[in-house]
Amino acid sequence: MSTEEIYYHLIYKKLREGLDPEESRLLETWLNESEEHARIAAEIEVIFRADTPEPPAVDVPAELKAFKQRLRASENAPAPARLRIQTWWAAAAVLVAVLAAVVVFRTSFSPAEEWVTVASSGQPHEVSILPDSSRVWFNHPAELAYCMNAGGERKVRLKGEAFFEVKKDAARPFAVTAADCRVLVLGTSFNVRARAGDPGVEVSVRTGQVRVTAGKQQAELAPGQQALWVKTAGRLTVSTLDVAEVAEWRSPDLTFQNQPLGEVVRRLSRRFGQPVVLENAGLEKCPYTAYFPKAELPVILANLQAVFNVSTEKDTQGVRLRGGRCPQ
Amino acid sequence: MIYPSDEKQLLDRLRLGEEAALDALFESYYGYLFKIAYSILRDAEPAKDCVQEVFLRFWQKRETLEVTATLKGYLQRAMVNECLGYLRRQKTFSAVEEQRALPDPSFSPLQQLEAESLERLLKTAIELLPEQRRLIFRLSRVEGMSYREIAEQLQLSPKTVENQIGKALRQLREELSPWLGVFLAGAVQFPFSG
Repeated sequence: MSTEEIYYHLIYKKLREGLDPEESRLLETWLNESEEHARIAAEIEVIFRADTPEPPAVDVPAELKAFKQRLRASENAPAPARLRIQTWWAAAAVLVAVLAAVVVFRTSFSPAEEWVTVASSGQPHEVSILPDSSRVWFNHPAELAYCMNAGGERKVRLKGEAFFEVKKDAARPFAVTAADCRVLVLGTSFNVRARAGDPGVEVSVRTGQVRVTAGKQQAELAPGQQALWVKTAGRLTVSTLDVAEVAEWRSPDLTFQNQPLGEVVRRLSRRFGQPVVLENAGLEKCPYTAYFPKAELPVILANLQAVFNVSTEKDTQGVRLRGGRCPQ
Repeated sequence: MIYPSDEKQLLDRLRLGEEAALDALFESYYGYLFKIAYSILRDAEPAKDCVQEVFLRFWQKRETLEVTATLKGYLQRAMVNECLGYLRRQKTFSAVEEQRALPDPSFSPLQQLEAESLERLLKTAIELLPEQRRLIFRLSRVEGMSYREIAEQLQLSPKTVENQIGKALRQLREELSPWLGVFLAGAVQFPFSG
């Protein structure tokens, strides 16, 4: 460790738990050597104080209730959530037998499926926990219906937009149906968007693997990939996006890091639900860097005006950015 | 508050499968364990998940439970291990990890820098630390966890822990210096006078 780093660590230790006389003396000497050293110490103290691991308040009785639900689920589950190798083979064998039985019987026999509906309430940071411990965040207004005992699958029907964090269960794939588009996963996190007024159904993956089926087409998505299903065109297209942009609506802040202005307006249109159009095509590739702790469109537009010298015009169609130039 | 004499009784009741004992255990230690998990993961939802896992596994192993030291120490250790496991699994699940970078300070209007923003910038800067250094730094903010305990939990020497914290601070200081300057503007004071 270089000499200076010893003092960094001592300053921190003093703030954390205090120093013994020897260490204290060593630090004092170093601090008094120059103003620069004193400034370093002050900066480290700022870092220490800004780094607050203060957790949000917890409602212990509510957490206990959720825990007991989870406990019951783990006791009643047809197969444990984390399968060891031997049991996996047993489960696979069972699955094959069940499929064979279905093929043989092929009647209208289906076990009673129980569907439960959950609707978003519009409360920020609200998360719904499904009986299998998967989590769902709604982009209000949205609604889903789930059925966890549908044979070999965990089924969900979605209206609107939601972000899913699916608990891994190799024995029971998780299937989300939105409009006429089906998303099949094992354990992953992804966003599904099927809002009224959208051109199609959009599925974006943050972690894990997802299989999207729509019409007669299918696509396997990896993190950073997005599928768009447009029913009228009968087309399922796959594109890439920044993983940080998946379910961007979940975070209150917004960061642009050297992003071309053409992409910036696209992100703004999505985020705020109204078209933001860049009229001057010459500005499409201009890089933009900014950070907004609270993403509010008027504030962002004001900043764009200042940086690119564009004029903003609002009409019923949305916002148009006119003129401007790339800053040098 | 569970006292040592009550502790033995509680463990006995747990071993016998008494769910009321599990409730009592949960109510007594949830806050403490959540604080640990949050200090490490800095995200409430995964933290809650991990705390639940600890209680779940504790309950599932209740019959063969061997708590050699204090219950609190046992749970603390289990909690840290669970968080480490979670972080390890995160690595394998997300092939494309979110690449956060610090914003360009020349573009941020000064007015946007409130204390809240510094916390967020610091959070990003911590994410940019190399993995083990980041982990050690996070553990150093877990209340009541000494350097020696960090070293034991990660199976490193205490000297390594000190080194890594020194390096982390140097890196954080360097990355955040444009913003730290704003906070210290006008304040030429020796922080540890007296």
